[in-house]
Amino acid sequence: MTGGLGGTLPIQGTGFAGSWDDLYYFLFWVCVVFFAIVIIPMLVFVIKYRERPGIKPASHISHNIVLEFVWTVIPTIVSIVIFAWGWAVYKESTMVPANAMEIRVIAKSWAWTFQYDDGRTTTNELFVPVNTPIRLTITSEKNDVLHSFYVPNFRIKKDAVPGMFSTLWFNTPIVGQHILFCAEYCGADHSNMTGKVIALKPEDFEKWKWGAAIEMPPPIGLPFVDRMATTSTAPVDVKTAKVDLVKHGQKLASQLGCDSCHSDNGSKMIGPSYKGLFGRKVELADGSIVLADENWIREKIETPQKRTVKGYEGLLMPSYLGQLNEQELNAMIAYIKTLN
Amino acid sequence: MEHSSPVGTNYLNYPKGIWSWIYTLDHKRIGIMYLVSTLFYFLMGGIFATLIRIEHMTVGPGIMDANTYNRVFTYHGTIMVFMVIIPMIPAAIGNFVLPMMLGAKDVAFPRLNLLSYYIFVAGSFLGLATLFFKGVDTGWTFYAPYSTRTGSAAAMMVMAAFVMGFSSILTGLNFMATVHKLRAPGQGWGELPLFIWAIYATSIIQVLATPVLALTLVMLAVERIFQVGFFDASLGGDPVLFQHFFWFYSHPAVYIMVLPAMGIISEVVPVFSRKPIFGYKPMALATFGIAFVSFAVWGHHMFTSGQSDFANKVFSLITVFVAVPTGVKVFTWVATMYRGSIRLKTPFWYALAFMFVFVIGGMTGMVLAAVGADIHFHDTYYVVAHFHYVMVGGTLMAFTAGLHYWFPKFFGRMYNEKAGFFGFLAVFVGFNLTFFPQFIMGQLGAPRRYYNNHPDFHELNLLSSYGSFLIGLGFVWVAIYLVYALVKGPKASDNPWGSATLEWESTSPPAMENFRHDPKVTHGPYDYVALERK
Repeated sequence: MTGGLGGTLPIQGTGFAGSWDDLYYFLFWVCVVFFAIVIIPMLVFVIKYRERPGIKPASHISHNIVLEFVWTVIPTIVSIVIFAWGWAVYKESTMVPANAMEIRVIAKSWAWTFQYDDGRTTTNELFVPVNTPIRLTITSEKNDVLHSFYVPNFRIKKDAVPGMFSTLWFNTPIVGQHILFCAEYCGADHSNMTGKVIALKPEDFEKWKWGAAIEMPPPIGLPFVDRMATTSTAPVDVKTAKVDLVKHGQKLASQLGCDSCHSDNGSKMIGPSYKGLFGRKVELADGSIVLADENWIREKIETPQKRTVKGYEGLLMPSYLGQLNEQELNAMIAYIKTLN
Repeated sequence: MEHSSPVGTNYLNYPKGIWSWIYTLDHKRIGIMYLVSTLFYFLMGGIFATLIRIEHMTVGPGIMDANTYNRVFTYHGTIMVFMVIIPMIPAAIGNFVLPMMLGAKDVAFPRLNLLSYYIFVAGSFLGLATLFFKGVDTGWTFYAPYSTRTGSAAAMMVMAAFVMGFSSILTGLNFMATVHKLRAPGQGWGELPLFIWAIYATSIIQVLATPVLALTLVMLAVERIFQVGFFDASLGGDPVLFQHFFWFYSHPAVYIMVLPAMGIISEVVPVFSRKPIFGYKPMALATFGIAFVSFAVWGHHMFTSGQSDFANKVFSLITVFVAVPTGVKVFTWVATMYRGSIRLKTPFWYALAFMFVFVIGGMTGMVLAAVGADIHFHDTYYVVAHFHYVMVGGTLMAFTAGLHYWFPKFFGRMYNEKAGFFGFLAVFVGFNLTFFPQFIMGQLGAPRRYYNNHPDFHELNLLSSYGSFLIGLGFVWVAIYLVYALVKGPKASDNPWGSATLEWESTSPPAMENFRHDPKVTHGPYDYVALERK
C-alpha cells in the first residue's frame, strides 16, 4: 500500500484523504504548468538572445497591453479556482457526521490523553473502530502550551489550545496503527510527542472496550515504513477503573454546588437550567447571540463574568477557574449534553 | 556645486581614521557598516543552519541533545530573519544605492540614519547576549504560551526584536522622506528606478506594521515579568490572540524581505538584457499591490489554530490574490529578456536563479494558501521548504545578485567573473539539493522543529544535509574571491555594466558627497539607447 505521486504522499487512510489528494494533484499540476510557462521561455531567451556581435536589442519594446491583460486575468481565474477547491475540501473536513462517536483529546507536554464516554482514558494510543465516524474534541491542559494533533494518513490536523476546545473528525476504513504527530512546537520532547491511532475491526474494538485482550494490528502508513514495522502482537491489558463520564459529570455538578443554582429539568433557579442548553442559541445581555457549545460551557464555568446571559444580569456566579481539570470539564460537558 | 572633498579621494579613504567611520553621517559608509554587520550575522545564522543539518544526518540523537537543538533552530531563525534577511537589502544595499539613484548627496536625515544603525547594533547585541543567559528555545515566532512559560531567555530576545524593530521604522521613515524630497531635477515619479519603488513600498510596510510587533512584544514581556494574562489561558488570556498580533506584523514582514529582492531583480534584468523593463507602470503598481494585500492575509498562518471557519475562508481568498501582482512581476522579467542582448554575468546568473527558485517558492505558496491543502501541510517540512525557497532562494539570491552588481560601485574593484560563476553554481545546486527533498518530507507528513526525525525520512534528510554543505562551500568561495577582489581586483570603471540609473554617473567608488556635479535626469532609468548616445 503506497500513497500518490509516486509514493511521496502518505496512504489514503480516510475518505477525506482521497478528496485531499485530488485537490493536491490539481495544485501540483498547476505548479508544474506555471513553472514551465515561466522557466521554458526564460531558458529559451537566455540561449536565443545571448549577446552576439552585430545584433541589437529590440529597445523599442516597452509594453504590450494584450499580453499584460492576459497574464493578469488568467492567474486571477486560476487563483479563484484554487481558493474555491481549497475551501470545498476544508469544508468537508469540518462537516462532522451527526452520528459520530465522541472521544476527547487532552494534550499536555508531552503526551496525548484520550478520554472515552465510559470514562476510560488511554495515553498516546487512540483506539477506534474502523468505518465509524469519530469526533475528536481537542484541548490542551490549562497550564500547558500549544500542541497540534496530526495524522498524516488521514490528512487532518488541529491545534490543541489551552482553554479552548476545537473539533476534528475522521472515519478510517483501514485496520492498523496510524502514526500520530504533535505538529506544534512544544519544547524539549516535541519530537517524541508521537502516538498511534489504532483502528480496530468493530468486533475487536468491542473486546477492547470490555477490557479483553486483543491482537494489535500492524503499523501502516509512511511509505518506507515496512522496515520499521516491528508488529507488536502483545495483547492490550486494560484494567483502568472506569467511571462513566456522564455520571462523573453529574456527581461533580452536585459536589461543586452547581446544582444549587442550575436545575437539570428546565425549571429556573438562580441561574439558567442545563436542560436543553447544549447547541442552543443563547441571547446575551448586550443583544448578541452565542451558540452554547463546548467552549461556551467552559467559558461560563471558568470566567462566568466575561459575558452575561440576557435575563441574568447582576448575578455574581463565582469562577471555577483552576478547580476543574480538563478531564472533569469534559465530564461536566458530557453530562450537560445528555440533558437535551 | 563645489565639492567638499579633495579630488582623487573617495568615501572609503576620505576622511580617514576609525572615528570618521564610527561618527560618519555618510549613507555609503553606513550602508557598508550594515553590509559588514549583516554578512557577519549571515555567517552566524549559517553556522547554526549547518549544525541543524549535521544533527539530522543521524537517526536519533546526533551531535546535540533536544534542548540544544531547540536553541540552535531558534537562533538560526531569529538571526536570519531579524538580523539578516530584513535589514540586508534595504538597510545595507538600500542605504548605499537609494540616495545615489535619486542623485542625492545623502538620505534626508543622515543623523537618524546613523542612529538607526546603532539601534540595530544594540538590538542585535542584546539578542546575541541571550546566548549567555540559558539561550532561547521558542523558535523565531515566540508563540505564547510557550514563550511566556519557558525557562529560557525569551523575554530578552523579545526585547532585542523590539529594539531592532525601531531601527527598521526609522530607516523606513528616512527612505520615504528621501524619495519624496531629494530626487534629482527632472526625476519625476515615472522616472524612478524600480528598486526605489520597491524600497519605498517596503518602507511603508516597515513604518505601519513594525509598531504592532513592538506592541505585541511589550505585551509578551509584561506577561512574562508581571504575570498579566494576555496570552496565557491559565491567567485568563488567549494564546491565539498572540498569533494574530504576531502575524499581523510578521506576514507583512515577509514582504519587507522579498519586495527589495524583487527590486534588485528589476534592476539587474534590464541592464544585462540591454533592454528597458517590459511594462514599467504595471511593475510599480504590482509592487504596491503586493504591499497593500500583505496587510490582510496574516490569518493564513493560522488555518489550524482554531480560528473560525469564516476567518479561514476570508484569509484564504485574499491570500490567493497575492499571486496576481507577483505573477505580473515574474512574467515581466521574462518578457524583458525577449529579444534582448543578454550578457551572462554573475549578477544575471543569480537573477535567473532567483526566478527559477522564486517560482517554485511562490507556487507552493499557492498550495498553502488553499485552506484545505494547508491542513495537511501546516507545520510540516513543506512549509519549511516553501519559505526557504522564497526567503533564501528569493531574497538571498537577489541580495547576492545585487552584491555582485554594485560591487564595483561599492569598492571600485572588479571580481573575477569565472570565480563568480562557480560560486553561483555551487549555491544554486546546493540550494535545490537542500530544500527540494524537504517538500517531499512535508508531503509525507514530517513535522517541522523535530529534533528526532522519523527514521523513514533519513535518506531525504541526508540529501538535504549534503546540499546545505554545498551551499556553505559556495558562500565560502564567494567570500574568498570577493575579499580577494577587494584587495587585488582590477580597478572598476565608473559604469562597468552600462547601467542607465544615476548611481553609475558617480566615480567608482563614489566621492564623499557622491557626485562631482549635481546630476540631471535626461533619460529613463532603463533607456540604454539614450545612454549610448550620450
